[in-house]
Parts: sequence; C-alpha cells; structure tokens
Amino acid sequence: MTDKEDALSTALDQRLDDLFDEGNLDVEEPKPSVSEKSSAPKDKPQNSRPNNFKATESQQPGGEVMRGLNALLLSMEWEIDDSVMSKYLAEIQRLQELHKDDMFFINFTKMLESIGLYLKRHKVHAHQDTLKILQEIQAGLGLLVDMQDSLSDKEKKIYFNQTYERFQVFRKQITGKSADVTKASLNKNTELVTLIRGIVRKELAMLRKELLEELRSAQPKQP
Amino acid sequence: MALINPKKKEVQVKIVYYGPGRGGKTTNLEYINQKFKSRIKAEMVTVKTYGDRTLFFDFLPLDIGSINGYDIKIQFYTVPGQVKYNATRKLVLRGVDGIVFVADSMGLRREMNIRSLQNLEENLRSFNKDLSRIPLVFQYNKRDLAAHNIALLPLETMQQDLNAKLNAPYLEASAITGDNVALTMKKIISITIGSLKKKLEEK
Ligand SMILES: Nc1nc2c(ncn2[C@@H]2O[C@H](COP(=O)(O)OP(=O)(O)O)[C@@H](O)[C@H]2O)c(=O)[nH]1
Ligand SMILES: [Mg+2]
Repeated sequence: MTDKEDALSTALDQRLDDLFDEGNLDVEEPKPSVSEKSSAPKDKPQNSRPNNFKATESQQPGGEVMRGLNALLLSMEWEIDDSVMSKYLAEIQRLQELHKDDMFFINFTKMLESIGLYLKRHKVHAHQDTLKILQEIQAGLGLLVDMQDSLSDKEKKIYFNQTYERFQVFRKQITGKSADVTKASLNKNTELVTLIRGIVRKELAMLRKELLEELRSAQPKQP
Repeated sequence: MALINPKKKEVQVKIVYYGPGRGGKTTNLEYINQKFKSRIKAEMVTVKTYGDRTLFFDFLPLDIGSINGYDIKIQFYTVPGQVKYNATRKLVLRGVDGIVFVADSMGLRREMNIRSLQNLEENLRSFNKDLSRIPLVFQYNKRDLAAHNIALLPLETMQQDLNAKLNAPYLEASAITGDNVALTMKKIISITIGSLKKKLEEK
C-alpha cells in the first residue's frame, strides 16, 4: 500500500466521521422539531396494538380492526343492496366512534362514508369505478392501521393527501365536472412524467459521459 | 462505473440500496436525510405514486467534499421492491459502484430476502457484473422489532441465507430508530471509495 492510498483512506474516514457524527447534531440542528423519525425511539408509543406488524403480513390490510368492513366490501362484489349498504355505513359509524381521537382514521372513513352513501343511493347505476375506488381507499385505510406506529404524522398526512386527491378526482367525475378534473389529474401526471423523464435523461447523459470517458482513456493520455 | 473527471477533479459515485419491498430502504435514506439535513445540504427526491411507498425510487445526493484534491459526490438510490418494477431496478442498478442490501429481519420475510438477492445477482449479470466483485454491505434491518415480540430471523440464519458465499461486511440495524443507519452508510462509502483508489491514483 502506498502512502498516497493511506492518506486517502485516512482523509476519507476522517471526513465520514465528521459528516456522520451523531453526537454533535443537537447543537447544529436549527430546528429540533423537523424530524419525527429521529425522535422515534423514545416517542414510540407503547402501542395499543402490540401485534400491528403481524397484522401487516396478513392477507387483508387492517387486520382485526378492518375485518367487518372488509367482509362487507367483499359482499358488495356479489350484490349491492340496501341491507349490505346500511350495514356498511353502520360499521363505519361504529369504527368512527371507536377511533374518534385518531384524525387520520376519521378522515379516511369520511371518504368511505361519502362513497358508501353515494353507492347506497345509486346502487348498480353508480359510476362504474365506484367499487374500485372504495376498495382502494379502504385498503389504504387498512394499511394505515397496520403501519400505525411505524409511520410519522408527516407520512400519514402525505399518505392521506394522496388518497384524498384520488377521492376528489373521483367525486368530481361523478358530479360531472369531469373536464377540468381530467385536466388537473393530467397535469399531475405530466409533472411526474417530467420528473422521471428528467432522471432518465440524466442517466442517459451519464452513460454517454461514461462512454466518452472510456473512449478517451483508450487513447494515449498525458502523464 | 464511477465518473472520474481528472480535469475537474471530481468523482461521482453511485450507491444503490437494494432489497425486498418494505424492507426499509427508503427509511434508511429518510433517516440520513432528516438527521443530517444541516450537513448534507441536498434534497432527497422520492418519486412515488398513489398508494405505494416507492413505485419508482428515492434519490439522495451527498457531497462528501474534497478528499486528496478530489471532490467526491455520491448519489444514493433505492429500488422499488415489487416484482413488476424490475425494469426500474435495472435502470437504477446501471453503473452502480456500491450496494447496500437491506434485508428484512422479520421471520416472514425470509424467502423475500433470498429472492431479492437472487434478483440482484441476475440483474447484475445482465450487465456482465458479478456481485462478488462489487463493494457490498449487508444490513439486517428492523432489529428493533424484537422488543415488540415479533419473531425475527436469527443473525446466523440471515448470514447463512444471504452472506455465506459473499462474506461481505454486515450490520444489524433499525432504520426506524436510526441504529447503525449512519454506520451502514459510512461503511459502504468507505469500501466503495476504497475500491476506486487505484483509479484515482492512475489519473
Ligand atoms: N419497526 C421497524 N419498521 C421499519 C424499519 N425500517 C422500515 N420500517 C417500516 O417498514 C415499512 C417499509 O419501509 P420502507 O423504507 O418504505 O421500505 P422499502 O420498500 O424498502 O423502501 C415502513 O412502514 C417503515 O416505517 C425498522 O428498522 N423497524
Ligand atoms: Mg422504498
């Protein structure tokens, strides 16, 4: 090993130690409240659902909590009648009562309730995507229940917002204001596509650079 | 392949966090991004779509600064775990310089870890690369779950399943509490840059 190599490792290790020194962070960090993750160990609630990670692994998202709702949703695939819809709405109310302190849970169930009411009113004449949306949002809620303790409030909010956007798009579709909705969701899509395209383009630029680099290094180079 | 630009004295290194879906790759980068925000001075980009945490990938640039006259820039990526996103995984793997394999310690994820590692090897092979010759660190994640009475794979089992032949450095970690997350990153940076030493000297 040459001196040069040694110097490099030492310098690098030193730099990495400085960069990732967790001990000194408190002094440097301007805002202590930003990160929910970093305070997770001590804040982590001695949770009410000790087995929530196991629930995650089961087939149906939401485990025990969502069992009734999931069963009713499943039966809607056979038939959507007043009886099943009333039971569904009643189950939502029961859950809302049980989880009334959990804002995310309540907000999710409000979307389910709203679509449930619509479905009850229109039954088979409801928009063809209704059941699909209901399934999606309900699965989303189930996932939230499963992941309760491992998601920060910020993540929950992002998650909720994504779902809510989806819900809004659907709602506007069924109330007929589809023109600008399509445009709005199209815009969102375009944004994403632009972002991905940007990244892919960068990848290609890198590839090109690499190839040039290789070509260049194949030629005789100056000392 | 790292981009070494002798004229600008700049090295660009690509490190990929690979592993089964929901194993904690994104959480690793999020932790670093949050915890070291004040020092990193860069933004993590997560490309995601509805209902899934990583449909595409996360991207975190990290500027190490100047070492021996070379400005070292590292780009961290995570890959999506779902089977159907293999094209994205390949794209992200292209030109990789170092890999952190984030394995999920939950008993139920044993198969998934093994399959994901196989998938990594296959994808690399399609670029004519050999995993045993790429800087690699294993991270056995979610060790915190033991405290929640969740069945975890014993360390020896994970080592046997994943690392028996490769014999790469490994760490037990918890991305959610941050245990050994920074250490994992330090390790992979250190061995990846180490593997580039020769090239840095030549230029
Ligand atoms: N208990 C625990 N949960 C974790 C840990 N790392 C990740 N998770 C959770 O596992 C889920 C999947 O994590 P994510 O980082 O999105 O996985 P990815 O698909 O590999 O990017 C999330 O709910 C995380 O909060 C960990 O070390 N311990
Ligand atoms: Mg992810």
